[in-house]
Order: sequence, then structure tokens, then C-alpha cells
Amino acid sequence: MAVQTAQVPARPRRKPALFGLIPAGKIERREALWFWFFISPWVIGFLAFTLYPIVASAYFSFTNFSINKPPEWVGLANYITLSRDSVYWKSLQVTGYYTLLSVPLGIAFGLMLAVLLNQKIPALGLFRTLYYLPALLSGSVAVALLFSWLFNPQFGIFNMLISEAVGPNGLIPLGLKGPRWLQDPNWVIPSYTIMSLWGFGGGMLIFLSALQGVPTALYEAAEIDGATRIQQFFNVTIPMISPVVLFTFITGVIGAMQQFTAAYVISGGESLGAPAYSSMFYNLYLFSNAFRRYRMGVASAQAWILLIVILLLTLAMFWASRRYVYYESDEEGAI
Amino acid sequence: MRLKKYPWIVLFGALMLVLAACGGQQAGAPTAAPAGEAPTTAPVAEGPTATPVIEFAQQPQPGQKVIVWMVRTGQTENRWERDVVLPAYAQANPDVFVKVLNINQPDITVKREAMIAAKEPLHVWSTNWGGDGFASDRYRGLITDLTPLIERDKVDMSDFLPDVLAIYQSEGKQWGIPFLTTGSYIYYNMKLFDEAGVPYPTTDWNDKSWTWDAFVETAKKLTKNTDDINTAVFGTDYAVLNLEGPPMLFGHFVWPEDAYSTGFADKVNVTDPKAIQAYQAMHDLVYVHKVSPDAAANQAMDQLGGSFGSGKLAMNMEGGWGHWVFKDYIDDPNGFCWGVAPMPWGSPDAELRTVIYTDPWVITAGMDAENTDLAWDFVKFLTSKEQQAAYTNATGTPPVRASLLADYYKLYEKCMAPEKMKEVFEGAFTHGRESSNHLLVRWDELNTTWNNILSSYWDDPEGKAADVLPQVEQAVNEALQRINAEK
Amino acid sequence: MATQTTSPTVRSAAVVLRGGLASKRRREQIVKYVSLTILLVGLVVILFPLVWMISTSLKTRVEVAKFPPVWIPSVPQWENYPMALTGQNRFDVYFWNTMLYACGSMIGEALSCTLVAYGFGRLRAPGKNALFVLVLATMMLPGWVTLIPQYIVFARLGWIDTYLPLLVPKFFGSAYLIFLLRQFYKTLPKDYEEAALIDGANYLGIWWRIILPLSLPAIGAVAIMSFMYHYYDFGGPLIYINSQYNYPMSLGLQQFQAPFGGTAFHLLMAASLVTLLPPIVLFFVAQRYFIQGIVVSGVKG
Repeated sequence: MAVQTAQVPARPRRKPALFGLIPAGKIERREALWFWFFISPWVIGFLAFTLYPIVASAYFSFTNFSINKPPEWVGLANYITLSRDSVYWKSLQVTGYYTLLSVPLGIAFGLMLAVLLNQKIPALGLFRTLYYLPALLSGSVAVALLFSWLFNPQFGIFNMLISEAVGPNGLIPLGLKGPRWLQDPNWVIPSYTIMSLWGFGGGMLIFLSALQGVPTALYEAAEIDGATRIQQFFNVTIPMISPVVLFTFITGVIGAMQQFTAAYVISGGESLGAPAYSSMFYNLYLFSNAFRRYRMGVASAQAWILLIVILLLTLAMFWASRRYVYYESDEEGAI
Repeated sequence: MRLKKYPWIVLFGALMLVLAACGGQQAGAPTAAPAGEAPTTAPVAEGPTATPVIEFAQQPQPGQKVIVWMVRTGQTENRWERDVVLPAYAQANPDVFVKVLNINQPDITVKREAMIAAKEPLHVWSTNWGGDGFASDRYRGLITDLTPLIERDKVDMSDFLPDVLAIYQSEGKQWGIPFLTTGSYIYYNMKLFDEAGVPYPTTDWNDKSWTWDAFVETAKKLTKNTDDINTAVFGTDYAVLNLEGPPMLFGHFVWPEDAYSTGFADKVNVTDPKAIQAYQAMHDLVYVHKVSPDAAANQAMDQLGGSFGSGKLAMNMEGGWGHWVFKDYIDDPNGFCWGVAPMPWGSPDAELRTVIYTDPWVITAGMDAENTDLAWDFVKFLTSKEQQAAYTNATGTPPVRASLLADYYKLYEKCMAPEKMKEVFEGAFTHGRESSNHLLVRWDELNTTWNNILSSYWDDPEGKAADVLPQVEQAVNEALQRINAEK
Repeated sequence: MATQTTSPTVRSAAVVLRGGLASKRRREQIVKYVSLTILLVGLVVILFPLVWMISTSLKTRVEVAKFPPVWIPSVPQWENYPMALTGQNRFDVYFWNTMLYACGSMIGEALSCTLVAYGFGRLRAPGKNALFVLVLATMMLPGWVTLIPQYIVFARLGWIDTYLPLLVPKFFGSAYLIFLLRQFYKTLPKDYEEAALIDGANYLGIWWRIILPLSLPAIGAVAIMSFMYHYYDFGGPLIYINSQYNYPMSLGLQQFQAPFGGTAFHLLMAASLVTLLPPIVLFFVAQRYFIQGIVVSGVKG
């Protein structure tokens, strides 16, 4: 359709057509056409592979679906079931807390590391590689198990170090005791956060590549103005890479809200979510409804509620970031 | 500046690397393929000496029928499948190709559900491995009723232990053929018993002197240095083995009597004085008698490959998988000898006091007659006397055929006399009930419910069973109501 | 580093302002050593699990279960390595399967995402923002609920037990990487395109000649991330790959697991460590191109 209108000789001040999807001016129309050309791979892939499963899951959320039998329409029953399910609300709360804690910390660590590893220091490549290593391992089952051992209140390394440092007979004898980590409902989420931070090399990689795009001339100018390193970081580096920071924030939230593997490995076998549902992550509960209790309808409702929650959060982050995120190529009304 | 061209060289280099790597795929494939050409010539052997390439990269020949067999990962079991079953079945049925899907147990449910939903071929598998267990699978209509096939082929089922066969009967139908069964036992480390000069416990389930108090006394004699992990020995651990486990030791069954045959319970009873006594007794092992590691310590030892294997645990209350998981310790140069004892009497009327675990082979429902026959033929083969014997030999898992059990006990001869092993092993079947995780529908939901409440109890030195069990009962009853409402 | 490119007059001005070249040098030295110290201390934490993996990979089955854990195996079991990588588990074959999957995905995603992200990042069209939100939304729906319909689609296509369901969609972009590249593209000044458009170039030419060379570090990051993700991806192959000779290494590693504490940790660790080597080498080579100034110098030259 866009092609047809493009062939019509351009008249000045044409009205936008097709509910505003076809712009008025010739140059704008050509640019819009190129836009569709560039994004066409995604559109084709979306229509071919993604759209049907998404629509199907939306339909499942209004049905009673036990996977091996055809779904039966039940209207809003699944959503109503969830609204009355205390474990469901708990899972939302657990996941929100984890997101709030892990995303900002993960970004701070990743950024700090990227800045440290963007200097001229000896054995730079070695340092970068070693720090990236955990990101490669962090998804593995073995490492999740290892961490649950490190966190052991009695014999784990963390508490051994704490008692060596500030325990009754420690270096600074404050008589403090390490927490019970994964055994204490109040410490479970901080424990999972520490586990997630171990893999911050992934964030480092993104920031490291973003730092390459900051023109060196800006630092030179700042130096002439007498700006300290810290000032340069906040007034040059941060604004210049702010679009990427926004990216890590949004994808961090999306990822954290769907946290699954570590909790599944650690609490999955026998006591999903234990103790006292404090590790019942949203996606973990969703999974157990889908594949251990065969309530795919309820799981789909959970998934769609999550989609809407994350979507609203994302739009809020885009909106809030407008004042802080600096795009070189800015345009009106962009997100 | 030269740098301008530089990145392109890098990209080009990367592309070459990729092409080299992906080109190697083509080069690598043919070398793998011929290895699988001659499946039947290899000897039918067991153990790691057999040529494992038999199955690897083997594909069905044109005209061959295909059976898809889903199993769980685990080195000993997989060795049996690959080196024993496949060659033997290929020899007997040259026109059939058995395709093994070897999946880690926690991942089985996702793969199986996807395959069944898409009607991808999947013939033979075992319930209870991943997912929610036999009761849910039967209730959901996932598995085929085998009764007509058994009757048609006049299969002689008399060799199977009758109690074990009965576990997978319901509505008068046989839904699966058991291939593995075991009770729960107390495994004990003979080395630690010898060092402490404590006599080995009985092997007789009817020996009334093996009371809970006698068990605790034994544990106390074995416990030492619990505050120094380097030299610590714990007399025992505590074991829950499902919600019903501890109360069974004290003569109380928490589920209604018909729950196991229907798959549904209308309520649970864990506030019976005997149930409270049982849970308090387990708790006391840790915090009053101090003979058991606490939850955290137990978990720490378990993660490194089993608390019993650490050599720090004199007695281990465990499901009967100990027989094959701990078998390595007998043979390992750094290992030790272990024996098996019955569960103690928490109360003189606790006849049925051990949890039994039985796994069956089942056939996917809704396949056409030809595929069902193919699958049935394979199940008959797997549960035949010869294959059961080979299975036991290769894996150390117990057979379900009475005629094979005598040979099974000889596997442990090095540490325990076969007649002793027989007494303790088989005693479990007359002194136990099948695990609820195989026989209750939506067991996962129930299990999550009680575990989330109980986990804090095990961790709390001040915890009182009388306080926590009413909470458990209420929450489980609510879950049961939800489950029954969905029937 | 910065001083080398500034002109002498500007530098001397800076020197005057900051109170002498010597003190500036000293300050930079201090920053360098503080950074090094932080990095070295951090390494201890980072590498701790790795050391444990190495130690475990050299133990016997029973030594693994020893409690408290032994750090140095009594007799290092070097044969664990060949035992883990050969025999039932043919890691030589798995390796090529993994390479096919990881390289193929990397090429597919790098190609498609650079294109799509350019559209979203730098071209104006009505409805673009709404469409971009749709792209992001595809990331927000947990995969568990789309898995079954997705599998049915690929089963109908007859793609089960091949890499097609895993590779083909990669050539149509991934939301995560599209978003990442879009953010990078947005940091580039708009003037580049405007100048080129006036010169009569079209957008494809601009993308190829200007945008791609300018965003090489970003594309490098995207390629690395794509490769690493698929190198370790386990969920996708688990669902779609059936035959063992089609396994990638991630599924091969799963074969060491066993229920009831029967997992062969010593072999699992040995194999995990070996599979770690290719990504390490790749990253080590690739990170050398993350050097500040490479992009800007490129344009200047």
C-alpha cells in the first residue's frame, strides 16, 4: 500500500493517509518506506514464528488446558483463581524485591568493572577475560549448586569468612554471626542477588563496548576545563552511554522478573520455593503450574499478567528516562 | 589511518573461523556415521568395557520401524540401556530400531509434554521420572491400559512380586509393568560402627527390640565431635520421605485408606498425636539428642554427592536407591562397607512403617494399534526375566521378579551376607506402603505446600511439631479442596 | 592516552591549569595502581568457584563426596578428562554441533539485528514506537507458555531433531540484540546521514558505509553475546534435539547428572572446564578490539 501511494506524484501538503501510517511529505514517505525495508526481517520472523504461539498462549489463559487434551473455555476463571491465590501474590512480591535489589546493583557493578577495565593497565586482556568468565558459567547447574554450598550457614565459605573477620574470635571481635542465607526467608533474596552479581561480566561486556563510542575529544575538553576523573565520569561518560544504561535497566528488569534457573536448581527438586515460599519466583511458580501441575491455562494467565506488568514498567522507564538519556540523534516523540 | 581497514580484517577473520568451524561439521559427520553401521555384531556385554559407539550416531535403516524410548540420565542406568538393551533387542528384532531419548530427570516433564501435545512419536517411558507421578499421568489419560495386551498375549505375571504389581493396578486395570522396586531403609557405615565398637543393627523387620529409642541410643554411641567438622561423626540423619514417612514409623497413616487407589484424598491427618510425636522425634534427633546434622549441614554434605558418601554419617535413613547409588562406595578404594537395617519401631503397632518406591514402564495412550504393539513388545522384552537379570547386574537396582532376587543379593556379598540382605530387603514389602508421590494426583502441589511450611520447622531449634503440624494440615487440606474441586 | 592526540598548545594550557605535568603523571599512576589492586582482590572472589571446579575435576567419585571438602586431590585423576570427553559421550561430535549452532546463530543474529536495529534506531516512520514496543513485548512473555504451541509448529514442519527450529528464527532478529544495537545507533550523531543523503546516498548505503563501521564495537559485543548464549544454550536443544549424535555440548554435559545424588561431579567438572576453553579464547581475542578511540580514529583517518 505504501508503495502505491509513493507512486502518486507528490503534491504539497498532502494529508497523512491510512490512519496516519503513511506520512504526508515525499521525503518522509521515502524514509518510512526504508524503515519498513530495514525492519522487514523482524516482521517476517514475527509473523512466521512468534505470533501464533503468543496468540495461542493468550487464548490458553482463558481456558482450562492440561496440555494433552484440547483447551476448554472458562472465561476469566484463571485470572480469578490467581487473584485469590496467596502463593501467587507472594511470588509477585518475591520477584519484585529481587528485581529491585539485583538490577541496580548489577548495573553498578558492571559499569564499575567496565570503567576499570577500560584503562591502560598491565595484562588488560587477561583481566577482562577472567572477569568475563563467570558470565559464561553463571547459568550452569554446577555453579548454582556450588553457591548453595558456599551459602551454607554452618560450613559455607561466606560464613566462615564472616566469623573470621567479625566473629567472637575474629580479627575485629564484634561477636557477629553470619546470616542463615538460603535457610532464612529474610535472606533468601539477598542470597540470590549475590549469586546473580557473580555473573556481572555480561553487563561489563555491554558497557565496555559502549565506552568505545564515547569520543575521546570530549574527555580532552573536560580535562582542559579542569574536570576530575570523577566529574568526567558523571558529566561525560554517563550521559554519553546513557542509552545503553537504559538498555541494561530495561533488559535487566525483564530478565530479573523472569528469574528461574538458579532457584529451580537450588529449591526445585523437592521443595520448590522453600523456605516459606521465600524463593518462589514468579517464573518458578508459573513453570510449576504449567509443567508439574498441568494447569497451562493458569500458567498462561500468569504469563500475560507478567507481560503487562513488565510492559508498564518498561514504558515507565522510557518515560522517566527522557530527561536523563541523551540521544545524539534525537527526534520528536521517540521512546 | 590504517585502523579504518582493521575492523574489516577482524570481521573477515571471524567469518573464516566460522566457516572453518562449520565446514568441519561436514567433515566430522561421516566419521561418526560408519561407527554406527554395524549394531548387531557387537557382543552383548555389560559395564564400561562394551563398545559404546554401537548406539552413537546410529540411525534407523530404511524399512526399520522405530520405537522411541525415553529414559533418565544417570551413568549406570544409561550404560545398561546402551550396552545391554539395545544390542540385545536389535539382535532379536532386526526390523526394529530403538531410539533412546536420554533426558535429565528434572527436564523430562517439559520435553515429554511437548512431544505428547504435538503427537511426536514417544512409545515407552516411566512415570514418576519428572512431572507429577503415576497418579497424575493415569488421571490425565497419558498412559495406556495394558490389561487387554496382557490377556491377549497370555503373559505370565506370576513371577512378579504381587504387592509390587498391585501398585500400578487401579480400576481393575494394569497401567504399568514395574521394573524397579525398593523400600526405605537405614543404611549404615560399617567402618564407623566398627570404630565405635557398636554391633550392627538387626535385619529383621519383626525384631521388636529395634525400637526408636534403641535407634537413638545407637546413634548416640556413634556420634562424636559434632562441633569440629574435620573429625565429626553424626550418628544418623533425619529423613522425611514425604509427609507420610515419619508418622508411618509411629503407626499412623496420614492419608485416607482409599486415597492410593483413587488418587484423591479429601483430607489429610497430621495432627494425630502419633504424627506429632513422629515429627517431634525427628526434630529431636537434631536439637535434643544432637545425633543428626541439621538441615543446612545435611544439605551441604548432600550437595557434594551424598551425605552418606562423606563418611561422616553412621546411619542414613534413605529411600532404597541407596542400594545402587552407594554401591560405588563398596568398590571404591577410598570407600567403605555398608549394611542395611530396617526402619525402627516408633510404636509397637507400626507394622507398615517404610515408604516403598516402585517405577513402572508405561506406554503412551492414543497411539495406533501398530505402534502400541511395537511398544508393548518392547516393554515385554524389558521386563522379561533375562533383561531384568541383566538390568540388575549392570545397575545394582533391584529386580521385581521373585526368581531374580537371590542373585541380586550377591552383588553386596562383599559387605553383607546374601541371606541377611534378602531378609532386610524383602521385609520392606510387607512392612511398607508405596510413596504418595506415585499415587496421589497433583502431588507436586501438595508437596510444595507442606515443604514450604516444614522447611522452617526443621531449621528452627525451638520448633514444636505440635505448633507446625496444624498449619501443615490446614494448608494441605486447602490444597486438597482445590484439587478435588477441579476433578 | 588523551595527551597524545591533543595539540601541544592545548596541552601546555592544560598543564598550567592542573599544576604541572609531574603531578598529573603521579595522579594517573595512583589511579592505575588503585585499579589494579581492586581488580586483583576481585579476582579472588571471581575465580574461587573456578578453582573448586578444577579441584573437583581431578578427584575420584568418593573423594568428591568427602566432607569437609578436600581442596587438593590425594592423587590427581587426570584420566577423568579423557573419560569424560570420550566413550558414551562423544564431545568431539558435540563440539561441531555446538559450533554449527553457535556460529549459525551468531551470523543470523548479527546480520538481521544490525538491519532491524538501524530501522528502529535512526529512521522515522509513523507507528514506529508502537511497533518497537511490540518487539520488546516478545521478550516479556515467559517462554514456558509459548513452548508447546511453538513446538507443535516446528513438529508440523518436520523440523524436530534438526537445528532448523533453533537456527532459522535467528535470521529474523532477536528482540534483545535489536534493542541493544538500537541504543548504540542512537548515540551516533544525526549529521552523518544528513550529509550522506545530500550527497545522494540511499539508506542502505548509509547503513553499510557509515553506520556499520562506526558501530563495530557494538556489533562485536552483539556477536560475542550471541555466540556465547547459543554456545551454552541448553533449553532450546533439550526440546528440539532428540538424537545423541545431534547433541550440542550443553546437552552432553547434562548426561553426567543423575538422580539421588548420583551425579558424576568429577566428570561433569572436567567436561565443563574443557568446554570453557573455546569461549575463553574467543573472548580473549575479541576483547582486544574494545580499545577506546578506535571508532573515532577510524572516521578521522
